[in-house]
Amino acid sequence: MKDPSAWPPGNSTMARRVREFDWEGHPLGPIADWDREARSVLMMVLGAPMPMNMYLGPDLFLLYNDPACELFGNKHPDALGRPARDVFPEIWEAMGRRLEQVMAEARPITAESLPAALDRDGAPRDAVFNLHSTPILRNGEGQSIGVVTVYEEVTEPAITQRALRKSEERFRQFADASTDVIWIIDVETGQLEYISPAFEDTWGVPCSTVIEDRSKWGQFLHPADYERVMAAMPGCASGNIVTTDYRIVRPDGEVRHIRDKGFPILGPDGTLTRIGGIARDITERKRQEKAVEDSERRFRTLVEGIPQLVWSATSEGECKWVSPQWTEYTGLSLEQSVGQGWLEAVHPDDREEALGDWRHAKAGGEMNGGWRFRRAQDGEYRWFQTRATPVLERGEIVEWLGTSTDVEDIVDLQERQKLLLAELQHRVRNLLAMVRSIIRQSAEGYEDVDDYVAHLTGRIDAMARTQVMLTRRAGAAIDLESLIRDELARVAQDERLAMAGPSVQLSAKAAEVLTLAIHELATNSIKYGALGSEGRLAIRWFVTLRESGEWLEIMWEEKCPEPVVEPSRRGFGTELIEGRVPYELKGEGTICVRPDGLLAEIAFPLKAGASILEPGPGSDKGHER
Amino acid sequence: MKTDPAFGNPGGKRPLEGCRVLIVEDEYFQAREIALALGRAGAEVVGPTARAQEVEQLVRSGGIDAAMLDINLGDGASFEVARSMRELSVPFLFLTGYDVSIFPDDLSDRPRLEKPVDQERLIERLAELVGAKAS
Repeated sequence: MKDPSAWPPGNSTMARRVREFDWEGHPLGPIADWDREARSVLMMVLGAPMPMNMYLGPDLFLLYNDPACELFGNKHPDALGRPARDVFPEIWEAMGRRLEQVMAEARPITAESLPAALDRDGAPRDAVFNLHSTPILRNGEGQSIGVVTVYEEVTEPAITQRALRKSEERFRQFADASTDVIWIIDVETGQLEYISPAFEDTWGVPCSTVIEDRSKWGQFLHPADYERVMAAMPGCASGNIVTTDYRIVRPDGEVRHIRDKGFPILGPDGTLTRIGGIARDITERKRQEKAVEDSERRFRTLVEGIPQLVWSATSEGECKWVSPQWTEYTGLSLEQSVGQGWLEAVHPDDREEALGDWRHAKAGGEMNGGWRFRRAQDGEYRWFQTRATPVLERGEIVEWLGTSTDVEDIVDLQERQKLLLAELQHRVRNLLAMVRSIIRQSAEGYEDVDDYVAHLTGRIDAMARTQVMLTRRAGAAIDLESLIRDELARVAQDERLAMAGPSVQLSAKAAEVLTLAIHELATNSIKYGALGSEGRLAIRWFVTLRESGEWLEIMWEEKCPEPVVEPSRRGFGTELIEGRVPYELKGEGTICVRPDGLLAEIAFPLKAGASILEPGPGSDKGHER
Repeated sequence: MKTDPAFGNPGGKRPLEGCRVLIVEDEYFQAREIALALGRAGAEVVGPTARAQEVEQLVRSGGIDAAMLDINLGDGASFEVARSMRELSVPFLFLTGYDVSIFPDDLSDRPRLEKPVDQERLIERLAELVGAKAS
């Protein structure tokens, strides 16, 4: 069995008073004997947060809860258990009628905006209530055994206060959950009235540090920002909204970037009562901004620094951006190049192919083309290797990034390399054929093998010297005087030799023919002429102008003290001068033996070319691909 | 090689007997050697010459049965002489130090001998050219 005195349970004042009340001597009798419905409603009334009364029995004996005490003023605590008629004689006329009606009709009634003089905290004041009265029915139907009334105060201050409490609660929930630091300073005390918990995360110190002493806030400022921030702060106090960016140094040494916006909060009379503020940690944003900036700067530096033309195109292959190099090279601005505008710079013969390459790129996912682009500076079309890679986003091509590389010089070099190789083969084979010819020619008229070998070696050496000079570097021209000196250096003493003539550069072909001719003249001179006796040798040359252009004329004149013996047969030297010079150099050559010496004359047109080792200015630019 | 008993040596054969053969060769000594060899083989040598203009005249004047061409006439490789010969239906072969890669497509099917050349082989090929034209 439950201890009947332990009912109703609860710690509230009225629950206790109801328990301690002497119900034995009361007309309602012991609580344990009350109707089940009455006991249930009593439990509800005592636990409710709003004022509630209940009236039991035909005499409407009054019971009420803690919130209702306030309404009763000095009627509490004697009102408990007394008939309502006795407790509220001043308003009984209306009240009694209403309660009787609820009892009789067994249905709820709401009475709106009832004025009531309240004696709250000893100070009487007027209040307005909505009263909701509901019958308490035995077994939930039929006969009413009492009434329960809920008081809803609709007096203005009550509503306002309720709204304010709600609003404050919402503010706190927002502020407490905010990752921004929200703060409010009471202007009168100069202290922090509120600071949100995000402060602890951002500053790395407990809120209490600055709530206890607001001036401590200043010591976390970065020294470099301190003066500036302190100077900006009074702006709020004079009624302005002030936004300040500054850095803080946390106790753990970490530096954070803060954007702090302070604003005035005015009281009902328009005077400044508080300063509010929102401080946001923008460290990550700063870092990201800097990262983006750095990345963009690096990209720009790269794009503007490399010799390639860089561009981007839409996934449809329409140009949307070009690097400054593109504009510089093609003369087409970004506006002129976008869409299909870039095609203007492509060689008309290559446009179809370029469009075809793009169609293929869209299908194949990569782009690689070789087209000519027009150089604005001189109108020259140069070969470019154009490559592009798609930028993918979730497997979809969103744009193409591409480069165009000037490969004109490489194409040139490849072309030239091919020609050089061909020329090299030609030269080697020709040389071997020439050596074979010289061996045969030299064999004629020699009986002594040693003599034959000596002559043959001399001739091959002379050819070798020419080759060395010619291949020393590409395009090497050969100086006539050096050529003659080289051939005579080992056989002629300076005092017997006289040389005179302008500076002349010889083509490779002319050098080859002349070297062997001079060699042969020198060899013969040692054997039969001036260089083998006490004679003198004079070599003179001139450049003369003939109908077909400039000619070189060389005179080789020997003077000997003794009569010269003319060789009985036509020798190799004669072949070289009278045969080879006219044939290969389209020139003239004669050897004339005189009693006192010899005169050899060689003349031929001076012209460049003869070998791709010496390319002329008119070398063909139109490459086959 | 078959030996002709009447002369007793291969040099005695005259496979180009009565043929007029034009020699276009830049190198004097090589031209002279080839001219001698073709002469021994019975050919009537036209040229030799290293001048493109002269070749043009010689070919146009007619009566040439075959020609032997070097493609370098002192100014690098040139195929103009070859093309004008083809135009005038003069059978010719190239004798050159250049590799096949330098030949343009339209002339790549022409017979070609590389330097240094075996003289007997040159004579054989020229005889083939003359024979092909005659038949």
